[in-house]
Amino acid sequence: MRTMRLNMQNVCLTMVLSLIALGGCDRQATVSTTSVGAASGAPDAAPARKLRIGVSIPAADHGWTAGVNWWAKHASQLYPNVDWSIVSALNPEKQVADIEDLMVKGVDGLVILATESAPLTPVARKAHERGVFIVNVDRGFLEPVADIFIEGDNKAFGRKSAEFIVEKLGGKGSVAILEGIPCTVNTDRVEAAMAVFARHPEIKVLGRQPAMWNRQKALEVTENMLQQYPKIDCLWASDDDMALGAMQAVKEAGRDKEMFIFPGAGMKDVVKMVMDKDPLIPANITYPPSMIATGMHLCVSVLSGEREKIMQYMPRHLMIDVELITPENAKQYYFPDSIY
Amino acid sequence: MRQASTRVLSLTAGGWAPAAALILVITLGFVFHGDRAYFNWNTHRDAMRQASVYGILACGMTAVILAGGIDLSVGSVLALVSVAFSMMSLHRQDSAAMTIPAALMIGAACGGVSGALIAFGRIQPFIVTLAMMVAARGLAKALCGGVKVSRYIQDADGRYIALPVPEAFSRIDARLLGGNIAVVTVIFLACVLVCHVALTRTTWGRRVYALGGNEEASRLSGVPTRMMKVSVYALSGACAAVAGICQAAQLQQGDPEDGAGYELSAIAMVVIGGTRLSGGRGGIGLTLIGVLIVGYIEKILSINNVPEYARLMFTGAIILAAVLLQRRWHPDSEGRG
Repeated sequence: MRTMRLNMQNVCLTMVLSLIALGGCDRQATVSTTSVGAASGAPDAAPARKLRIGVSIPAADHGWTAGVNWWAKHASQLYPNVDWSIVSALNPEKQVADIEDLMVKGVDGLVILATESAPLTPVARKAHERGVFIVNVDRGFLEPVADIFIEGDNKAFGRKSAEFIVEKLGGKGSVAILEGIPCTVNTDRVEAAMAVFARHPEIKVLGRQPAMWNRQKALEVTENMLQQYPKIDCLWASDDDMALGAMQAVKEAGRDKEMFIFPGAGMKDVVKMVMDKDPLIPANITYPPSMIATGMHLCVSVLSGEREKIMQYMPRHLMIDVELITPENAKQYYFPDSIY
Repeated sequence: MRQASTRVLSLTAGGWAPAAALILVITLGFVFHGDRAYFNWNTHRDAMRQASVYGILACGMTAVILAGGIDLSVGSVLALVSVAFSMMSLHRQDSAAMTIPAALMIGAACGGVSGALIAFGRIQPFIVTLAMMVAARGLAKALCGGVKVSRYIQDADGRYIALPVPEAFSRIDARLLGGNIAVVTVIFLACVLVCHVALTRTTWGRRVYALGGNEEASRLSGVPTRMMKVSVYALSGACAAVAGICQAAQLQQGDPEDGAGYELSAIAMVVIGGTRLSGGRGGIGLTLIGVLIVGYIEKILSINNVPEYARLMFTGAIILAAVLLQRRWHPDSEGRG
């Protein structure tokens, strides 16, 4: 009896051991593709140490961040001579830990898309003080600790969306708005759009409600709006995930002939609908998750040369323009291989 | 007699398997060292720092579980306290001499209310603390209007300006001994020590074990079971408050959405350490081992870039393995059959 008990303990311990070992193997398999030369830094070759760049991004909690994850992997494969560490986090606390790990590993550069700006700023400052080159993408730190900051033009995103809506409605009609997570990105977009709507007195904004860039939430909010407003001419969903949720609600209510939905960001499924001239989705606007790849490219190019000299002419703040996607040009924004 | 023997068991006889598991996990780090990151002390410092907030929750949780209860509200209480503490420290710029005791009292009050409902209202701990979990979250959101309490506020032109970091924040978020250990870790170890002494060296502690071992018997032998329950949940609430203070100081903000799911991590740490979920057996020493096991597994997986989904699955498997192991040490315990 006693021996049997011990055996069971062994079985359990072995189970834990093998599970962890499996995890380790998994890691070795993935890393072998990216860090071939790390171990072979032998004295005979004596090349400069491989560049180490850490990429810290939010976990794929909605379509756009899934796109960010895909583009990060995609871009890392284009630079096999860089020792990449791509880590994703679901919350700021985990992302701070990730960045600490990357600093322990001695990265030369960091490309960071923050889950949230404020709690990530202190750890970014620590990295900055250690001389790590930092490229900040999309959600900015609240202190000037990044060497380069890349973001989409959120004001143009709002403005161009609203201008299309006004034009499509012929300057007259009612608009209901789904907003994203309350933050500067959302504020910039919505305020720019509201400024356009304000210039057209016959455009009536029925209401604005946050649906958190989330499909399920958008479905619920749209259901409420459909009950609240008997006539809606346009639903500005302001995001593709939210547009898909809204679309479901509109179709289930049988009101898909009454209005059109304006999405945003450029998810391939939604771009496909534009391409196929779906009457519910007449157009889209880009907000490319590939900007993470742009940031990674800049990080590699600056660190591959003489950092100080290159930074003399590099812009500190890059604003990526957003473009309207219509059935005519949709093809060039459609990436069937991307997951977004 | 029985209480004395369980206490000894909790620290020696019963502790060998979790201790072996911890040694195993720590050893595994030398194999999967993540590009030699494991050989850098900062990795260990960070591993302990990251486990500390959960560990502080686990200290209070251990006392509750030993007393035969469960506290699901600690994550929400953490959020409530971190919001309240941030508002006092950042917006009102109160001194730490006032904010820290006030924060502790908020936490202890939440726990105390749960304990009183359980003891005097005779409602199941699971239900009461579930209600407190929802209510404390609501209170946290009500306090700050659902918006994070941040150092960064928008001025009239919409530009962000940064308030100065309160001294309490920077002191708690600091490192000691030449940057080699985080203050938060020291706070965690202090909680472990205080709870350990309280549980093993005082009458109160003996009564906690007695209550979890057999409530009816302890009531008949003169243990004030109702007041014991209130005090145990108040302790758990106070620990949640300490965790909330640490969380706010480290993230430099009070987030009303923070701490969701932390209660389950804390329970997992207690269980992995080997404290019995049905009460009466276990101890803080075991919980310390449980916290380190989870913290090190998390860190080793993290430095090896193991993706989130795999990490969650490992943690699940390890909780299961820990419970299976427990069942073998205590053939008379629950879950048999």
